[in-house]
Amino acid sequence: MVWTIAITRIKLLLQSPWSWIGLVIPVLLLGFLSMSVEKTADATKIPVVIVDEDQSQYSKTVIERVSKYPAVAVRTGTEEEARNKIETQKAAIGFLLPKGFMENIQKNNEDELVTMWLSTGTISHGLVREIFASEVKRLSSNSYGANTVLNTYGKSKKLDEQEQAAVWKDAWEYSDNHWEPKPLMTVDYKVGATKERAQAEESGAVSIYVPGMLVLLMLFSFLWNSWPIKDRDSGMRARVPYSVGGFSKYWIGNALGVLILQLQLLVLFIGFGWWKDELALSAATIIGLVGYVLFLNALSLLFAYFVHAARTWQAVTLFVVLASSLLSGTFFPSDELSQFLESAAQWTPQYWIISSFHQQTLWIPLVFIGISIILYGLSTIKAGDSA
Amino acid sequence: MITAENLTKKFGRKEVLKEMDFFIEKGETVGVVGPNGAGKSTLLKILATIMNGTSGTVHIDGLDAKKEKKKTREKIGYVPQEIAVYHELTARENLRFFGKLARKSSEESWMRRCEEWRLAEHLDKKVKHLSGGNQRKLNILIAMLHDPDILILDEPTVGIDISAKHEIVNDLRQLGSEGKTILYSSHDAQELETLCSSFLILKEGELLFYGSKQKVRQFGSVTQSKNFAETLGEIVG
Repeated sequence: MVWTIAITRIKLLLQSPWSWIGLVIPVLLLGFLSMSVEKTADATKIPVVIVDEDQSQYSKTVIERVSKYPAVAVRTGTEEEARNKIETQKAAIGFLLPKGFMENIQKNNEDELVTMWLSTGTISHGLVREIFASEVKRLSSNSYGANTVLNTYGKSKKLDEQEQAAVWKDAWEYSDNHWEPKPLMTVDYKVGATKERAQAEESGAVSIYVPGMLVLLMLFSFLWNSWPIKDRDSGMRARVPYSVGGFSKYWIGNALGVLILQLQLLVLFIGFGWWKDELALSAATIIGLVGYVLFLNALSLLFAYFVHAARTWQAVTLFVVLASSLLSGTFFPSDELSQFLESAAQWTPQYWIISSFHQQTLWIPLVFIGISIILYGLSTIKAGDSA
Repeated sequence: MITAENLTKKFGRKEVLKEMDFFIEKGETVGVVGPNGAGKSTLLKILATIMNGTSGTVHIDGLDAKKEKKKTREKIGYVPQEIAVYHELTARENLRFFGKLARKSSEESWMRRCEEWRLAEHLDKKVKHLSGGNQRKLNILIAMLHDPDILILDEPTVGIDISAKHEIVNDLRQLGSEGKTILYSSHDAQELETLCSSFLILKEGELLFYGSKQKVRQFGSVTQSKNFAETLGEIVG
């Protein structure tokens, strides 16, 4: 009986082609937005073009190391392409690593070793010049150190060729290691920020996939759970319980139908997120999300009991989704807000589901499930009394 | 078949039904008449066990409507004033859905009824695309899926054209001839005269008159009313 009602509710929700699109579009849209944000983050970096004529280990090391700086976006190409990019201002600064780059560095011949082109319209090249120079200097210093050690140590010890190479390498690496900063303390990321955020901060881009997913799951829960209002208007809220012989079967059956659709949407989100590397999957994360979806279903159902008009419901949906998403620290850490708002964040489901992701714990999903059961009970009793 | 004793209903302080007593025989078709706010819908809802009376009792075929709701409902088909069906589904899907909920219903029996009521050819249309008359027919057919002995209809022909009304009234007459007990509320005197064998006339929550069509006509000849509608009007005052 409950199942018949649930299936009919799903049928009703998926009546129009728009409803089917509504299941897939949010996932695709979020994926697209997520990628766009990454591209936008890339666009805010300083564009640098490097021509590697040497194609040596050193030239490749320089390019690799410079590329790792979050402030720059490195492209490589031929000299013609690089000049073109500079002229058209598609790159702020260009470098040419000529043939013999590695050899010259090893011999400590640094003068006018690298050619640099500057675009006329940019003011940001100072920073890149510093970065590039320090990376070249790093290699050059390593080589200078290694050469000095070998010259001093090698002469006194009379080493053969193989031993000389080993000493040179040791000295080079020792010197190079001094360029790597060793942090005095480790930083634990703040509670309230997603893993994606922590990872993104390293790369300079903020992923909106997980926060967006949480918001969309909430939005669709509220949109799909508008049936108590529509059913009240059409007389079905009295007729179906009358036919089925009890209000609770009608209420729970419909809630189950909506829940099945929500879980389907969740599966799409999880699948897409996993495929696009936007979501780190674990049993705790999956159970957490299922608990979150169940809670949203129960919460929106209880809210729908109190609302009597479709327009009011739209306003309630908008308010709840926007307010909870902004407060919860989904898009930015809640501890950046005032103390009052920070404590308010703890009343939002998004705050707790994100905490659950961080802690990889099961107690938060279990609390979600427990509260959901209470909310289902409350809405069934209250709506049943007034039916 | 249906007995009401001292039936009273209050909403807060307002008394919408005042100590009503009546007995409806099996197989009767009773018109429930009265101006807006007389308490017709409330009375029908209490008889259909959708609502409880504040005091007094209602017995349906010997069952206490308040205490034995489930068993009582098996005997009743209630047609609400609204077209309470899923408008986005087809007529067939609605019948199947309610048929499953009613359990006792078989597709064969409702298909036969649909053919009799000239709805069979429209079964695969979405309800929102059906004519008003066919929507109303479907609304009634759904209430009959479990083959109840009593049919309670709250203004089932509101908002449809005259020919559709005639069709529905004739179909209901056929049901009456099958031995069903029918309670029918309407504002259309002609419809009531054609269909009903007796009348419950309410005003401001009080039962003004309960008697056969014959008695209504007798009252009309005393007051020299021109027609049935006028007579009903005279009774209501």
